[in-house]
Order: sequence, then C-alpha cells, then structure tokens
Amino acid sequence: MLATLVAAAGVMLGGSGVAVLGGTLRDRWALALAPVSPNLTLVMRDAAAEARLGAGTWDRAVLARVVGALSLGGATAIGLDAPLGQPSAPGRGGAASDALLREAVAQAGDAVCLLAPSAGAPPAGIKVGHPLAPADPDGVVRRVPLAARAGERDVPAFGVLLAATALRARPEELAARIPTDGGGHAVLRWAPDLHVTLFSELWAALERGDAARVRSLAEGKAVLVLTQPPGLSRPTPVGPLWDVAIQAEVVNAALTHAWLREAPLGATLAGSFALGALAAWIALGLRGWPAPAAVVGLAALYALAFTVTPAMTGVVLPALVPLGAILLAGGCASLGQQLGAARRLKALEAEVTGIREALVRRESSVEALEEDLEAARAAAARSTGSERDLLQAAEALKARLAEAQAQEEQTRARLQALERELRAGDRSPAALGDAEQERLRRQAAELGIVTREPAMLALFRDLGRAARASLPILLAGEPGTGKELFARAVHRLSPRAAGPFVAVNMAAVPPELFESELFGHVKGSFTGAVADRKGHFEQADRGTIFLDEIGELRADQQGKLLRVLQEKTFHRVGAARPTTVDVRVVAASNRDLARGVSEGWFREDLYFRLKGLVLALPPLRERRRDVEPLAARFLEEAAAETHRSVSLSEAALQVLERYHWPGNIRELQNCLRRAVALTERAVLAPDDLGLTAPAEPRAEAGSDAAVLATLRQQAFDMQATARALGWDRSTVTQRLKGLGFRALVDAGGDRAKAALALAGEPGLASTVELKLAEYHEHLLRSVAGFDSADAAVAACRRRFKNLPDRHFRSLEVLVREKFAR
Amino acid sequence: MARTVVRALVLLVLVLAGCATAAPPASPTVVPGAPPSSPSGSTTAPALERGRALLARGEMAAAAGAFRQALGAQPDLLEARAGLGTSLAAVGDLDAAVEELRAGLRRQPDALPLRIALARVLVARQEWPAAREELERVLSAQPDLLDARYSLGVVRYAQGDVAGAIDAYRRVLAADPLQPDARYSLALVLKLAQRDAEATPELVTAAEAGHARAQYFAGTAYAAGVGVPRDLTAAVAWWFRAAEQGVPQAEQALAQLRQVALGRSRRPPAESQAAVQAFADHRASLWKQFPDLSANAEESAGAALLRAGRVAEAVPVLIREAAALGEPAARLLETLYEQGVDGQLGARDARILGYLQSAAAEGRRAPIR
Repeated sequence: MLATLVAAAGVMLGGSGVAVLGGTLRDRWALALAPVSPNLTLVMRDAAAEARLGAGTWDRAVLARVVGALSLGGATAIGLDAPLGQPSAPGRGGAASDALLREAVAQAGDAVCLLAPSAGAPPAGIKVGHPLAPADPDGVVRRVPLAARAGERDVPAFGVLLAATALRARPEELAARIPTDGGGHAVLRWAPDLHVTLFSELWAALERGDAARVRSLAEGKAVLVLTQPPGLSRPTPVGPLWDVAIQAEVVNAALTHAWLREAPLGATLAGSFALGALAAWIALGLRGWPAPAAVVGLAALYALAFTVTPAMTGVVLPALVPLGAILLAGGCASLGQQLGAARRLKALEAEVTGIREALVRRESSVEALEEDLEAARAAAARSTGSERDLLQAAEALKARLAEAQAQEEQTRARLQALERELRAGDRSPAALGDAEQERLRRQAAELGIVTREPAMLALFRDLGRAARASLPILLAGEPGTGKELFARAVHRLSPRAAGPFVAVNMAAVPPELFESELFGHVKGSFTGAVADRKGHFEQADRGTIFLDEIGELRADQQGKLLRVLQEKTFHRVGAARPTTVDVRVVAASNRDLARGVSEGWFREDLYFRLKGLVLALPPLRERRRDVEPLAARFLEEAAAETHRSVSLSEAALQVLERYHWPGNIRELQNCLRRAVALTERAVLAPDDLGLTAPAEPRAEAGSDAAVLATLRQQAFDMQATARALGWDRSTVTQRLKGLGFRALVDAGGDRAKAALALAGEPGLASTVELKLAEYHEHLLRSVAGFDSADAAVAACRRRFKNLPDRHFRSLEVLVREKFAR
Repeated sequence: MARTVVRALVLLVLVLAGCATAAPPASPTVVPGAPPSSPSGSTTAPALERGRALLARGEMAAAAGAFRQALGAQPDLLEARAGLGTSLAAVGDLDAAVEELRAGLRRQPDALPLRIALARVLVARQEWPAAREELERVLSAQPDLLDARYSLGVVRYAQGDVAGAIDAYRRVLAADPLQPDARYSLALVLKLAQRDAEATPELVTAAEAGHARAQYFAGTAYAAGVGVPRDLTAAVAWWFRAAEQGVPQAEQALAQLRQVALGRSRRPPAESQAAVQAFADHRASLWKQFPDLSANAEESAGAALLRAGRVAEAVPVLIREAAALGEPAARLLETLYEQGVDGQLGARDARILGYLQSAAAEGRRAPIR
C-alpha cells in the first residue's frame, strides 16, 4: 500500500520529467493505432491551390463553390476550417462572397460544420464545433474535450460534430457513446495516414465541371476541407499536427469508434496495490536470487500487458505507478526479508546460547546426582544398620537421576532442533557469503595468504577492516602460522601501503642493543657508534612496524616500548632532542600474552596498548583443508628453484594432511623443500617426506592437552567430546572437572579468568565458566557438612575417586582454601 | 479580383483626369492659385501625354516613369500626381502610391481626384478607417460623387458596419436608381443582415436589370420563399438565366434541384414532387418565347422548333428543356449529337456535348465514350 502511494506520489509530483517518461513509454510501447476510415476525406490546401487562389485567406465564393459541389457530390458531412466571423473584404469578394457562402451552406442543408471561429459570431445556421485539444502534462496531445462551454451553450468538439453529422446523429448522442476520462475528455486512437485529396485537384475538377470526380471523392463521406494555411504544430503520438489535423483524427476516431479507455485513478491505485502486494508476497516467499528475478519478471509481465492491452482491448494501462509499486514493494519486501532474517537469526542464536547453558546445568546436575548416588551406594556398603534407609535414599536419587537424564536429553534434542533451524536460516547468507568468500580468498591469495578455511577468511576480512581503520593489531599463533605474512597484509591493505614496512624480531634483538636497534643512536654515543644510525621505529616512519615475538621482551624493554607507543616520540641513544615518528604497530607473539599479564611477565598496559584487534591464527593442524593448496604452492616454489616439476602422490598428501605439524606452515614448507631436494622422483611418495613422528595424534590421546583440544573443538559438549574420544561421558566430565579445578587454582579462584584460559577463545568462555561454577559449587556443597579440611578432603577422595591424581591436588587446594576461610 | 480592382482604379483615374483637364481647357492645372506655367512647360505636356497613353495601355511601370517626369517639371500637375499614384498602386507598390498621393494632398489639400485615388489605394491596403475618412472628406466636398459613395458602402461593410453600408448604397440608388451594382450590393447586405423582406425585391430588381449573380440570388430567394412567396418555378427560371450567364452556383443549384426531383436526395417526397413540377412548369413556359408555335405542354418546344426547321433556335431550347428534365428533349439531343441535321447542324456539336457531359456527371446518362 505504502509502495503504491509512494509510487503514485512520485508520479504525480515528479514533474515534467516523469510525465515525459510516462508519455514516451505510452507512445513508444503502447501505441494502438486507429483504422483509417474509408468514409473520411481530407481536402487539404496545397501550393498549387495557393498559386491559383492566392496565398492568404481565400475568397468565400471559393468555399461556396466547394461546399455546393461537395454537397451535390453526396458528401454526408462537410467540415470547414474557415473563419467566417468577419465580413469579407472587397478584395475577397465582399458581401457577394459572404452571401454566396451562406447560400451554399443553406443549400447543403445541415451537412456543413464549421470550426469555431477565433473571433466574431459565425453566420447563423451553421453548426459550430470547437478545435480544443489540451496537451497532456508531457506536452503531447492525446485527448479532446467532447464539449466546451462557449458563452451560454456547450459547443461539441469539431471532429465529433462532423462525425455525428456524417452518421446522422446528434453530437450529444454520439458523444454519449464515446468513453471519456474523468474530465470529459475522450482519448483517441490515432491513424497515421488519413485519406487526403489536394485542394488544387478538387478545384481543377470543379473548373472542369467534372462532377463524377467530385462525386467519387465525396459520395457517402465526411469531407473535411482545410482551407487555412497549416497553423502551429503540436506533438501527438503520431507526430506533430496542427489543430485542424488533430480534429481530422477525431473525426476518424469517431467514425471508426477508435477510442481508448484509461484506467481511472482509483483502479490504478487499487491495481497497483494488488500488484505491489503480489510483488511483496513473491519477494517474501522466495529466497536468494529468485526473489528479485520473480519481481522483475512480474514487472516484465505487467510491461507486456501494458504494451498489448491498448490494441487488444482499447484500454490504456498506467505505466509508472504500477511498475513503481511492483519494484518498490518487491525491493522493500526483499530488504525487509533480509533484515528480518538477520534478526531472526540473532534471536535463534540467543536461544541456542540459552539452551546450551541449560544443557550445561542439566549435565552438571546429572553428574552431581551420579556422584551422589555413587556416594550413597558406598555408604550403604559400609554401614549395615541403616541399610534400608540408605537404599531408599539411593532409590530416590536414582529416580531423580533418571529424571535429570530425561531432562538433559530433552534439552539436547531441543538444542539440536534449534541448531538445525539456525543452519537452515543461515543458508541464504551463507550462499551470499560464497561470493564473499571467493572474493576474500582471491584478495588473500594476492597477499600471499593461501587458505580455503572460512574461519581464516573471516579472520582475513576482519584484518582488512582493522587495517583500514589503523587499529593496533596483535597477532597470536603458534610459530610458523604466518604471523609476519599477516602483518605484511595489514600493511598492504592499510592507507600506509606506500610507506615502509619494518619487521623486527624482538627475540633476536640483543638486550644491550635494544634501544640502539629500535630507536637508533647518534655518532659516538657508545663504543662502536661510529656514525648516526636510524632505529627501526624511525625507518618505519609513515609506515608499519611489525614487532614479532613481543612476548620475549624483558620488563624494562616493555616499559620503553610502551612509552614510544604512547607518545610516538623517543630519544635516539645519545641524542638530546626527541624524535617523533608516525608508525603503525602490529605485534605478534606465540605466547599467550593474556596469560603473561595474569602471570605477571607481560605488562598489562602494554598489552592493552597492543591489542586493538587480536587475531588468533589457527595452527595448521586445524586448517587441514589448507594443507593441499599450501603444499601445491610450496612445490611450485621449490620447482621454480630447482627447475624440476614435482608433484605429490595421493598417499603423500594424506600423510601431510594427517600430520600434526607442530612447526605449522613453516614446517610444511621446509618438509617439502627437503623432499624435493632429496628425491629424484617426479612424484613424492610418503617416505620422501621424512616425517619421522608418526602422523597420529592418538599418540598423545589421553593427555590433558589432547582432551582439552577435543573439548574446545566440540564446544565443550560432553557427549560429543566423549564420542570423539571414544570414552565414557563421565570420564570426560572427570577430566574437565580436574582441568577446571586446576585452572581455578591457577587463576586464584577467578572463575572468569579460569574459564577463558580453558576455553582458549572468548566465544566458549561463558559456557566453560558456567560448567566451572557448577563443578565448584557442587564441590563446595559436598564438603559443606565437614568439620575439618582433612575430613572433607578424605571424603572427597572417596567421592571423586575417578579424578586423576594430578588434578586431585588442585581439588585439595580448593577445599583447604574453603576451610581456611 | 486584384486585376479587376486595378482596372477600376485606372478607369476612375482616367475619368477624373479627363474631368480635371476638361474643366479649364486653357490651363493644364485646375488648382486655383497655382503657379503659372513654368519655362519647362513645353516638356511637361508630352510627358503627361505619354503617361496617359501608357496608363491606358496598362504599361504601369513606364507610366509611373512618365508621370514622374511630368511632375519633376511641374510638381502640382494634378493629373500626373493621380496617375503616378494609380500606376504605382497597379504595380503593387501600395506604400509608394500612398506616399505620392499624400505628398500631393499636402501641397493641394483640396484636390479631390488625389483624395479619391488615395481612398482607393487605402481600400486596397484594407486600411478601413483611413479609407473611410478619406471617402467621407471627398463626399463632404462633393456629395454627389456616386462612386465614392459606393466605395464608402463597401468600406463600411468591410468594417462590419452593415447599417452604414445599407445607408451608403441607398444614397447611391436615390441619386441613380439604375445603378445595378449598388442595388445588388444593397440587396446582399440586407440579406446578410437577415432583412430578406427588403432584400429580395432589390435582388429581383437587380436581376431584372440583368445582373447575373442577382439572378442566382433571386432564384434562391424564390426557392426558399424568403422575402417573396415560395415559387420554385420562378427560382428555376432565374437559375437558368444566371447559369447561362456563367454563374457556377446557379448551375449547382439546378443540379441539386434535379437530384431532388429524381429522388436522389434525402429530401421528403413532397419536395421531390414540387421540384418535378417546377421543371415541368419551366419547360411549359419555354413555349411562351415562341408565340408563333402552337403550345403543347406534353411536347418539347425544341422539338417543335426542329420540326419547323429552326435548328439554330431549337438546340439551346432543347438543352434547356433537357436540363429541366425533359425526357423527349434529352432523347432528341442524343440523336442530334450522333447524327446532326443535314446542312444545318454537324454531328458531335460542342454545345450538345457540354450538356451530355454534365448530364453524365450528374448520373443522368451513361458517360460519353
């Protein structure tokens, strides 16, 4: 509805430009021509007639003769365009010619019609029609008013009058059969070529006395005699015509009943509303590209109808309002659909998060109940006296456990359903994302970053944005994951791309030369300073400095660096005046700086100064899809070096993909280089790769690190992790519990910090924190009834008997802390 | 039409010039107080003479030159000035004509011939108020100048002043009742002013005086019964007379009436019957022109003349009868056209051919091969 109103308002208020557009569409694509009536002849003034009868207004005796001859020739109606209001001048026949014309008109009976004279009253007894034809807003004449008010009476349109005379009808009767628009105007269909006879030809026939010729011209026809020189032409759908010629078209339209109906405003609005609603419905009902295609298709269908209907049905459809409504409604609906989908997705995500939390709680309560049950059974086994009570308690616990388990299952099912829905809802953005991914992949490849992993591409996208925003960037990742490559990419994508890029490995800077290397020195400032030297910061002025291995800095060096980052100024060694630089800093570390801050070996203020955006580059073992393209790339490079083309066998590729790559991409690169250098073969076999450690992550299976990695991979879903490890779920729970207790001890009891350390990434931290809280509280609850820490620890040892020993120590610390408080 | 105006102008100037020169025979000027003949008077007379001759021959450009020469020697030579204005107007240089005549009038404000010539040129230029002013000044000086009075009527009609035009024509007729143009014009203006009761008698008078168009209008007045009782027979008679004088409208009116009579129009049958009767009456009336023949309404007067051997008289009568839908006359004409009359009328006579062609065009007979 709104789209329709907006489109209508746009068309109405759009001014001449819109009018011209609408008119052009109509005249160019929806022009329905009228048939040429065989019963209409135009006698048109021509040069030969002017040569014979004069250039100006002709003697009315001429008209009298023509009228008489045409009447005699059997013309059913005779139209004259001569102005008859004023008396004739003596040079043009004077009163005699006036009287002759009047006589001729009287003789012709009521057949003669006169185009309304511009001045003066017409002679009595002559029917008069008006020549008005107002132009549409685009300046093109398409319609005529069927009647116009002149003084006391209504004057019919000249063309209608003439046609009515020819059809022996009253003009009002004929007009009543003509469809009109709201303003009493009839829209005509135009005929490009009406039957025309030259005036000179008619006159010659009269002078010859060739009545047969006149009869053949006039008999049974309406004859419109154009005796005036052509007037000002006005544009019409069939080209420029002057007023009388327009009236000739009206006669033709009236004789052939070639009129058009225009859709009234109400119908236009209603139809446009319906079409707009249909377009919106289509846009809402379809996803992806079919939606705009269907809307455009609907518009095209309407355009086709617009083109075809005038000729087929005589109805002119409006063009701009409905098309505007279709496109506007379709477009807005598509947009709304996109926005709505995004909002729904967000809501779904929020719900999934909530359910996940609920699931964690249910899991924890199941686990707690299991433990309680176990404890109850153990107690029952020890004491015989109250065996019955204890068994009853155990039964009750069992029932509660079953209930809790059922609840957990229910929650899990709900979560799975939601996740399915989320994935389905995600489909169209993902489909759109394909093109985006491809674009990012290509852009990354240009910067030397080879990846197919969506996570990496997302990372790259964030990096691009941060690069443009000149945000400080901290790259985290294991050695060999491409931190420097990403740092260079930041530089290349930033507005500083034209400036220098200086990479400094902090671990490689000798501590005693730290200042000299980074900030430079002046000649003679120390032994060996034989000349002025620019430091790395100065070299990187108006560019980017990449501080690699920043985690290796000593505390005092961190302080110096912090000062430079804060103030952008430093002193060269030995210099009295400070140096100011404009440098963008990208830092990288393979150590966990956040942990460094909590453990005290990295300055917190420096950490916050560096971490505008933290990009954690995943290790190669988490990017297995990238192994193949990376290997291909490195083999290509090796081939270029050794001038030998070498490829990988399928088996070798599988080995590469399975290997855990502790040295990451750098290790892969070196491995392939070595293989290419050492082998004679064109296709590398697995044994050429020389990967001594078996490519089997199971070797470490069971280690805390492996369990944690799997937990992280499975987003701390116990069941999924248990399945992935092939373990019992309670075993996984015990492990996580142990890890959690240790982390809690490490974090000094700060659950949030401990959760972050365990989760590895902020996205999972809240889930982990929830679990930690459950575990911790359950632990505290289970020791609540004890008098001493020792008793509590002893009870715990029985209760948490499945907890690995190394973790039990952490539990003990927590329990003792509790009692200490 | 323009040529007629020019011819009228030339005639008028010649007449006026004649009057002017004739009045005081001894002197070449008529203006009192004019300077006496200059020493160059000897060259003036031949130039004037030549101008007069050239004007009469219609060599207007040359005439203008001659008059200019005469005026160069004697600027107040009235005839030369009027002649110059007239000849300039005749070559189409109306502006120069007005200029010359006005210049002459500035020197001789009372020279009526100049003023009349000026009025004529102003009429040609359709400057109605100026023309009317000049004409009224002429008439106030000389009220009996009928031509100027008539022109005033024309001008006042052109100005849309019908009453003024009627008054002007009536005054002309009061002075000279035998002026057919004035009567005809008066009748037309009365007719255009819807005063048919006054117009028709005037038209009939002009028609009877032989004015061709007046005869046509008299016919239409009788046919429609305006100003006179309706009389289709009289109408037919007048139309025939006008048509024979070459008024195409009369021919058309007759043709139209024939269509009515033959039932080929949309008119009611009663009118058709009246038309048939009118033509029959007209045919019968033709006998009256030949009192020596014994009238027989059933027979053709032309045929009777032919039988009497009066072939030359018979052909126009036969044509008139045939045009008045006389079947025997029409058949006879066909035969005459094919065969002629030995020694008196050749076959394929042009007059008969003319009739046959118009009859064919009206669809009354087959086209002539």
